[in-house]
Amino acid sequence: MNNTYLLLLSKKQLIFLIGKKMCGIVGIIQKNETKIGVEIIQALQKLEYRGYDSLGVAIIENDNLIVQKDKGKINEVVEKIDISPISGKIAIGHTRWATHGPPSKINAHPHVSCDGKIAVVHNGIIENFQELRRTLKEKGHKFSSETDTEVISHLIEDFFINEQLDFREAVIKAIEQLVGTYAICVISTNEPQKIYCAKKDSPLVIGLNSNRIFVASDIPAFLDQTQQVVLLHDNEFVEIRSDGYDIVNLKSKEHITRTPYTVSWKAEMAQKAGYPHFMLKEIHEQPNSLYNYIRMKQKSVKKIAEKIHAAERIFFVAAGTAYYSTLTGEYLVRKFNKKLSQSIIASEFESILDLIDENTVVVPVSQSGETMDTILGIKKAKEQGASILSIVNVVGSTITRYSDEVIYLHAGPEIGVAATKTYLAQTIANWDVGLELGLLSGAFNKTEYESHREKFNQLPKIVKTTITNNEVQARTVANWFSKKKSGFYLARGINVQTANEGALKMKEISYIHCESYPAGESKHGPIALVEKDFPVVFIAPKDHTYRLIQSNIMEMNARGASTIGVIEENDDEIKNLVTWSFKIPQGYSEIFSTIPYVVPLQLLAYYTAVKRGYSPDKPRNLAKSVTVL
Amino acid sequence: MAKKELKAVILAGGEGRELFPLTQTKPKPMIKLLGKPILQYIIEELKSLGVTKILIVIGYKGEQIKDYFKKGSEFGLSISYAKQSKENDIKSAFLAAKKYLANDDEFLLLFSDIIAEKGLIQRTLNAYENTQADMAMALTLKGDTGNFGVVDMDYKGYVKSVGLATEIDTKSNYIDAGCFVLKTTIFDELEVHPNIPKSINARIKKGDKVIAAIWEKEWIDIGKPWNIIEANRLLLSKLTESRIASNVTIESNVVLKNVVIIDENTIISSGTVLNGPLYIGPNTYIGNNVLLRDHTSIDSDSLIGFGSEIKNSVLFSGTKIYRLCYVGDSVIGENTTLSTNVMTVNTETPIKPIKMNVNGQKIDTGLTKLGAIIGDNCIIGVNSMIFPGRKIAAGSTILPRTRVQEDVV
Repeated sequence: MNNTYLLLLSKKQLIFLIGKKMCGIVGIIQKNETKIGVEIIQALQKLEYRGYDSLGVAIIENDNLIVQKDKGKINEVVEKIDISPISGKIAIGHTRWATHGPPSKINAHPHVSCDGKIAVVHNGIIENFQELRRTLKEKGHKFSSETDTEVISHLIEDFFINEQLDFREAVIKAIEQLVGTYAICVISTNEPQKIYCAKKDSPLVIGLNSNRIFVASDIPAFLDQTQQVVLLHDNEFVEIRSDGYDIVNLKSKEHITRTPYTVSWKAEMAQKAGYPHFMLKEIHEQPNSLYNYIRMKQKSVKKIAEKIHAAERIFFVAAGTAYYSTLTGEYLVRKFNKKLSQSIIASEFESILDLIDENTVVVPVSQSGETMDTILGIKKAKEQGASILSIVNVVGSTITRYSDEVIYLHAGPEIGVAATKTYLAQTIANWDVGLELGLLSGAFNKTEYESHREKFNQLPKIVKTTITNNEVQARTVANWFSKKKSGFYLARGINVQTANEGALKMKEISYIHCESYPAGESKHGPIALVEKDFPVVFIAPKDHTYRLIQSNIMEMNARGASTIGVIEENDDEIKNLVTWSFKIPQGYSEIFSTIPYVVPLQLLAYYTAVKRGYSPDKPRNLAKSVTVL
Repeated sequence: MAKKELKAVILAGGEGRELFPLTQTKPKPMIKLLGKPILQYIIEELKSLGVTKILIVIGYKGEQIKDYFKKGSEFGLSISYAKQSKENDIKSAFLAAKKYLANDDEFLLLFSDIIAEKGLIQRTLNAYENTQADMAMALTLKGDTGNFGVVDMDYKGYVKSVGLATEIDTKSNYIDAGCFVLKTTIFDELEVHPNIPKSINARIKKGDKVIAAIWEKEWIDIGKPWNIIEANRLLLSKLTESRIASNVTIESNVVLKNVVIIDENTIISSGTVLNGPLYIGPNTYIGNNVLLRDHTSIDSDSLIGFGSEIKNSVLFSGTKIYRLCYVGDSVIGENTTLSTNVMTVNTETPIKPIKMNVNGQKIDTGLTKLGAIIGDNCIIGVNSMIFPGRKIAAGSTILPRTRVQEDVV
């Protein structure tokens, strides 16, 4: 993908691209016949976070290609189409997030060729699909859907039948015609013992166990069956058989041997266990994921701090929740390193391109490491000579491959669409780098550094206490908040990010319109909206912002607002000013505050969504990571 | 359900002394909400999950339970009974359960005094099956963990220990929600340990994995008298459609708002306002210009006289509320009569949380609105006034013009 292709798209296509999300694909091939229909659905269910507006599977049963698909969430579709009796050795499946064409039975994957012998599932966007479609139509191919994906099956068919290529060659030839992003799986009765796959800019991984081989968009799809994983890189083509696989780089035509690695996540971690929602589970997992992060003591942290220290310009680049976590980094670089640094929303990266040269460092932060806006930004930054120092959760993801140094979050898979534990892990990584930077730049001496480190190591415990002390209160406040139409989140200093994140959590899962501002800005407009019982949340640690925040609270009280304070425990002064308060253990106001202070706001958003009857794990119109523009 | 059909054991033998005066005449599981005993809600949920073999452990006034549910055929399942030898001795109950489950490896254990939104049992079964844990127990979040079993969990959601907050070292706010999937090996522990929590802890120490099924929806333990009002409110708030039996008489100028359920043969007289959600049982007479509002339930064969107002209250069957009464945030026992112009005062003046005597202790209900709790078969004389949170024992007669400022026991 390069920066010029956008200009080649029609206006209509551009509209399609905006707000586009991702899909999940899965393939299974095995030595012995089983009820594979059920198994492919189970794998797809674990990828439901990647998209859930339609579902489809293709299975080869007794040399017949069976395709079943429909629109709706997985559970709804499974009620409509009965896949359970289908048995076989080979299957592919797809859970879709509509890109080209609305969710419908016809537009659901897999898409088949005219003769019904080739089935394709695809995640990504084929940019030249309209011209390919036109050519194929002229050759007499009949299209049944509006999707870009359907050209792939017809293209393969065309090479196989009209040009008499061997089936494998036909698939390769077809893939070489495609411009755009893709992860593709193909099965066909022409070669019923193989799955062919290809990847470019969309994720695809292989999972291996003794009886079967999986291919999927993400590891949780098969984590309950194997922890042996092979990551695929861009421009790679794979032939998968029940007894092995063969990777070829389509550009160099070289065969590639890559040893599988063992993921350390346990299968149970990819499941909800006894929790009603992944989000609540992940909130409760936060102490442990912070502990895992701290325990790893990654060498890259110091190296990144050194590079930031030596650089002229420092840009953080991220999108969504990850962007808010970078505000800690931005603040600490300014505070400790005394340098201008800036967090840039990835989709706005263009605006700083002219400032990037070899004296610049760019720090991308992303949970998945696949956020398309961020990838595009760092690709360009790298071309212009910048060092790329990334903070990501998913090992081996695209962003890490463009990076000079990487800090991993070690937070395990996050399934809830609304980020919680990865946000905290991203924030702690920013603090981690900040501490090294403070030592390097002399903002504090070795003794102070050691005492900060000691506090840093206590963060898992502090977060655990914060959850325990505030969960009941969060549910109580949520019962009230759930009846509101809108609210404000205000803070000063570094916790403006906490206000941002709190408001984002609330709006993305409870659909209550919430806005966040630096508290000093509230008088410049927003306060006009405040009326009786209007919810205003204040993040009020006992740092340099404390007195000013107090006066902001009184301003809001004077206008009849119902104020909610996230305060240090024993802070009776603010406790008596606000209607409700959440209490954070002492000692984390001056430093690390962006970690514990956000936790009650995650719980508040969760319980508000539940009270309003929404599933916090599957907010409407959102997908876990945005791997398209 | 996978494997063998799971059986359920329901503990329904306790005396429920804290619910005085409502449990003077009946066991707690037989308290009726929206025309059905509490126990029936649990049994119907079990039935909907395909659990058809149930052992009910009875004790205090257990004959009433047996008479009502019989062998279960009316409810589409098969019910056996075991009797607790002593009212509060759970051990003898488990001995009976052990015999009942002689050929089983696992079973559902349920408390009979829980009203929750639908799905609690299903959630517990799912957690059990999804994680392949040895046992599962439902937990719910509770502000005041008081006498409940508190549960300490690890970060993966497995139970570390269960017990009173004073017994185990945890600040957890998650409590035992009264629904378990247990292995029958628990019976061996129950012979050594005094109760279920301690027995579960013993199994955990021996290496068993106990998964916590977290219940985030509404959950009410019917422990204190005002919980009946809360449970009634919960059940009414979940109703989505009105239902009026075909032979109900509704005279002219009756106003119906929101969800209203009216059972057979009931008469609603002219000028009455029914502001739902409301439940009105069969064979009931509602007089002229009555106002029923805000989550009120009136069970069968009752009478509400001219001009009375009833709000957020539970009236058991056969109650008679004569003209010009006010009943707010109250529970009125079976066959109890409120004569003309009886007033239940439901707030303190000035407003503050209302206290109630429970088992000899004055406790803060946390409610600023709470009326009277009146037992079965009482007669309250004309022009009487009952102060907030006061209780009147079953069978009492209150003389006309009495101010009930102390509990009548």
